[in-house]
Amino acid sequence: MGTYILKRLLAAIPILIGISALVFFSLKLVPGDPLSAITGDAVIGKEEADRLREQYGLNDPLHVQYLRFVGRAIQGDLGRSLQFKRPVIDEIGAQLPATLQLTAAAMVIALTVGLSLGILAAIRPHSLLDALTMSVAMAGVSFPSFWVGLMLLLIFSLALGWLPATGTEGIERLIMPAATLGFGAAAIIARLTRSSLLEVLQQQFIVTARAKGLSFVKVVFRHALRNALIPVVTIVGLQFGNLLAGAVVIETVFSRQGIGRLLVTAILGRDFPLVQGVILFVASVYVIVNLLVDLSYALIDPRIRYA
Amino acid sequence: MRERAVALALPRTGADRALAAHPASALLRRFIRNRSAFAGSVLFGLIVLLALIGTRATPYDPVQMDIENRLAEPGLDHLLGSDHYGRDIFSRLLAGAHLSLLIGLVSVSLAVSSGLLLGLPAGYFGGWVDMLVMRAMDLMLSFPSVLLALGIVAIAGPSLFNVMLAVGIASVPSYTRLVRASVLGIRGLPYIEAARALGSAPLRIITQHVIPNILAPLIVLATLGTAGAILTGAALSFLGLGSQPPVPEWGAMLSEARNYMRLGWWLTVFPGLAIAITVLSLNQLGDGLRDLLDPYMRNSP
Amino acid sequence: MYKRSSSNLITRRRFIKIGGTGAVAVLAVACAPAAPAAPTAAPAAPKPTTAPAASGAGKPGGQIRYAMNNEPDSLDPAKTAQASAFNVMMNLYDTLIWQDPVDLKYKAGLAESWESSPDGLTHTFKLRKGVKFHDGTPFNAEAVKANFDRIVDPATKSPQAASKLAAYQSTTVVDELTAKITLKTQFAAFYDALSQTWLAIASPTAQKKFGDDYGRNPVGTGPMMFKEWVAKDRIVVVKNPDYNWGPPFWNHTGPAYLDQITFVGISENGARLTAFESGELQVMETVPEGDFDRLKKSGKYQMVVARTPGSPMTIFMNTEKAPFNDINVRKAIMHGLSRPDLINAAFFGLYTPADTPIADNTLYHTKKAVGMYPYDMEKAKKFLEDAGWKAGPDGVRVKNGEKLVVDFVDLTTYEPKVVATQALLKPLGITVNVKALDQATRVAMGHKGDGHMFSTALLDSDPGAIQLVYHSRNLGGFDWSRIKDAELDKLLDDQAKEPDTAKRAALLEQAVMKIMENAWSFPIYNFARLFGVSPKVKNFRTHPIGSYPYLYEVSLE
Repeated sequence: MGTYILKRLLAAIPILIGISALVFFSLKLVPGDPLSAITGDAVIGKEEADRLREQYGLNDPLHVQYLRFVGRAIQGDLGRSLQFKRPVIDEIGAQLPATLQLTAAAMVIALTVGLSLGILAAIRPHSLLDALTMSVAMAGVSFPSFWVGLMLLLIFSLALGWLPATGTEGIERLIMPAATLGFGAAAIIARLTRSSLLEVLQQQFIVTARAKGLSFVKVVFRHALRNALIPVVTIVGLQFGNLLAGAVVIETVFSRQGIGRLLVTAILGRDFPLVQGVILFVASVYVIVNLLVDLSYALIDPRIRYA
Repeated sequence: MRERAVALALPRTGADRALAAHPASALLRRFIRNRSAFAGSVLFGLIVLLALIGTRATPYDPVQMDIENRLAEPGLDHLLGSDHYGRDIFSRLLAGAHLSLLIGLVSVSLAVSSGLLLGLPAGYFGGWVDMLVMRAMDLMLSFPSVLLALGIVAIAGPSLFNVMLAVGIASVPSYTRLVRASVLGIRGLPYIEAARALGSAPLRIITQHVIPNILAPLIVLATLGTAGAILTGAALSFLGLGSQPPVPEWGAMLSEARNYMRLGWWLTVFPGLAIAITVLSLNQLGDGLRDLLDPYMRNSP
Repeated sequence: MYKRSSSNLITRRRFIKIGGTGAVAVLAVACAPAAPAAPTAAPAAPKPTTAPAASGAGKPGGQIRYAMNNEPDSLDPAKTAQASAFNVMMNLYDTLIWQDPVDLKYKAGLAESWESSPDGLTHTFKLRKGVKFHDGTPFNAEAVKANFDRIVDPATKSPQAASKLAAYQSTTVVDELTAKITLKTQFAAFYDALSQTWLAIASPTAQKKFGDDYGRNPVGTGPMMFKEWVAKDRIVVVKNPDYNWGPPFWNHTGPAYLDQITFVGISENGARLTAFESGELQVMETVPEGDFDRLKKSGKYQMVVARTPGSPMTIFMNTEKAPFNDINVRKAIMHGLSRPDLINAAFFGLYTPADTPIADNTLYHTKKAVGMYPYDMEKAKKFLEDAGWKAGPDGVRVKNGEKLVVDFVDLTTYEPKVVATQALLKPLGITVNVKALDQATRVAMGHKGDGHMFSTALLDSDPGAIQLVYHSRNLGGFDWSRIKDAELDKLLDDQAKEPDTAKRAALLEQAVMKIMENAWSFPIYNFARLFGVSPKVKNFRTHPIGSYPYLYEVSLE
């Protein structure tokens, strides 16, 4: 298993290098002026602009800039953000907790809501309860998350005034974004749990277990669920990546701090070092999460072993 | 801004899902009896109809400003209210309907054709072709597809066409993997082997035997994929990367409305609802089709 | 998230031209001369837009949350060019001298008195005694020297402060509290520059200690001290209990009233507004125009329109490209685009129309240029006909088989203005393509001339700043009309060097008339910053020059 993990991690390195080069050179195709990362809104004279471009090394040829980036990245230095004038790594570190908090909360919501809805629906298939829960799930996969967020804002912040609309501090600022983000994932998990559970419940060993006189609830929770969870785990892993991506929009709707907004700000400002850093970081996380998902199969499904 | 999980669900391999087993009339009967498929197709048909009407006629000129009557509440004059420029929201939604459908259609067509072009040879020939294709797909999959689409539009510049392109490209890996897996599943089957032994050319085998056999899962994935593409496209437009004003694209309308959301609830409610209903109808249809066409995927999410 | 509500404004201000006679801080306003030629050419003295400080002591204590439309990039005055940074830094730092918002004269700050040599090249400052930076470092002539030397050091890569000190040669430490600054060339706007927070004095100890990270750990002498900066969320500053060296025009002496100010940057209009209305914020900057009136009518808030001086929000027409290479087409726009309609459609009628390059609250605004192009659709159509653009079958004008289509490139935030322009020019037979983009892209397109129409306002107390958008030296920069006119260049260069206010006014008037006669740009409206202030906040008034509030004066009820 150790070799397997090592192999997987090593295989990720060329992918990460490919991504970084791809991102770097394609970003340079974008027409924007990286100087606006430094000067922001200010209108400045052309001579000053030229001086600044020179001072920040923005006039250097692309490959020189890229090699400079790679050279430093190997030493663990992702460079300094043009926009925020501090190390990229610090900028990521500052934004990470908020995004982790958001995705973790969303995942908790998605799992609890998704699993319970899915199990409820599967226990009594084709009942009213099934129809009801599956309608909610259908809404979850069909409604645009940014719109759901706006509607929550409209209701809970504007009309009722129960929850603050913006910001990052405190649990009350986490509720709406996490619920919005978790809703979609919950719907997918609910649908999958239901179908997976239904499939397992039809299988021979379940029928046998029931025949042996075990109660239905016991059968579901002791035997069926464990087997039904295998495809759910795959989806949870995939959903994690999607939650990260979804955070880009949700953080915008709710003006939360976080990696998603950082990335967008960096792209908009043509803050190349920062874009590089964030992309590399997100891609690495994604690769690692996918690896963890693969490994978790082995825990749930003993038939799978890694050579 | 989420990817439909089902987009990555792979069919079981080694299964024969020849459509020939279901005569067309029987299929139609089952289609109508399938509530999900029927409801979805009726709803979606209605939306297509409205979109067709919307390109020809709307109650008001969808881009005409009427400052006197800005922010009118929904009522008899303006069915769904008017926006901050006094433009009729119902007219704008009608006029923009075909754009959302177009985003879905164009991007999914792009993804399906690329998926076939890449997945068929990868699955059929295997070897280095397979290796090359699948490594490229791995590279694309090392990013959440929405981020990939976001990156592509950021580079190509904001426009509706670029959104279609970006959403299409970002979903190529799902289709490629589906096609490849389906081909792998039937490649070893006796009748393919037989055709090969009889000396049929690979192209002939692929078009005559392979494609018809992978059509069913592909149709299901494409239907659900269209729903997903409309969502992703709307999200990109919402982020300001899609169509440019005054084009009444739904995501862009929502993005514009967001700045005025406290001046009238109808500004944000209706464009979002329009997206939601369209996506919902396609998802229902896709679910139903899956039950009908593809018994082996019936239990996927 | 692509909505940046930040304005693209310049925040430099050069107000005063000092005579080379050794007079210190001669106030141009105070001695605005009679018209040199025609009576209409009299330079208009700007009316103070800010009321004098309210008398009566405020109640000390309490804290406020203050929302800006973006997060500053750095709180190192040498390393930022952003308005939001200026806003925060005004509380953390002091400048050597301050400009009084009412009489517009320079008043003592960290310098108690100052004098200039007759040639205007050396300036000696007597510094205030007993001033300490927040980290305990004493303020002295060494600190002044360290700051200014650092600003002009190329390694600092200063985006704004270095341009303020372009003429700087060196600082000599005469004694502990006397600093003599030598300039390379005459620089009339020197005192104005010194009064700006870009040239505020920071603790040299802290700069050394934090190095590149100083901007995140600012240490000044100002009424508030830096406490923490949570990236993308908030900047917290707290009262400096030792403070007693504010400028004489502030409403009280001693420490600030407020115990703490939390600055937050919320770029999304809707989000900022929601936070303000739910009572999370006491001050909100950049109120969306559509909501301003609604909030005002509710009677629940103090709504402040703080006009900024400089150039109005202006559409620049690319004179290198067809159709705007033809003056007739430009004149058609001048006559054919209705300002009130545009302001009404895009901004809920909140701003006042402006039709000259130098706003009417700004020094040397000339009435001569006002009303040169009255709104007249028939005239506009005639100009287009004369230029050869005839009505086409679909209503869009055509010439030599080409349709009259122009690209209006602008910031996503400015979309309403562009969409309104599009609608208003349609009856003229002109199709406007909207290109709503992010700042980096649209600035690059403007610099390259990739597009037909661009827009920006210029926030500056000194009208000479119009050179940034009209001088050919800035072609490839913000000269977005792509004007290359030797005569205009000379006028702009001469006025910048002209010590005599009357002569300078005349030069600027000539420049303005030249711009107007050539219809190079279309001024739209007078720019203003819109604040929403909680009724609990007392004594809220803004600096007339950049419209930054003096939070030192603010107290809570």
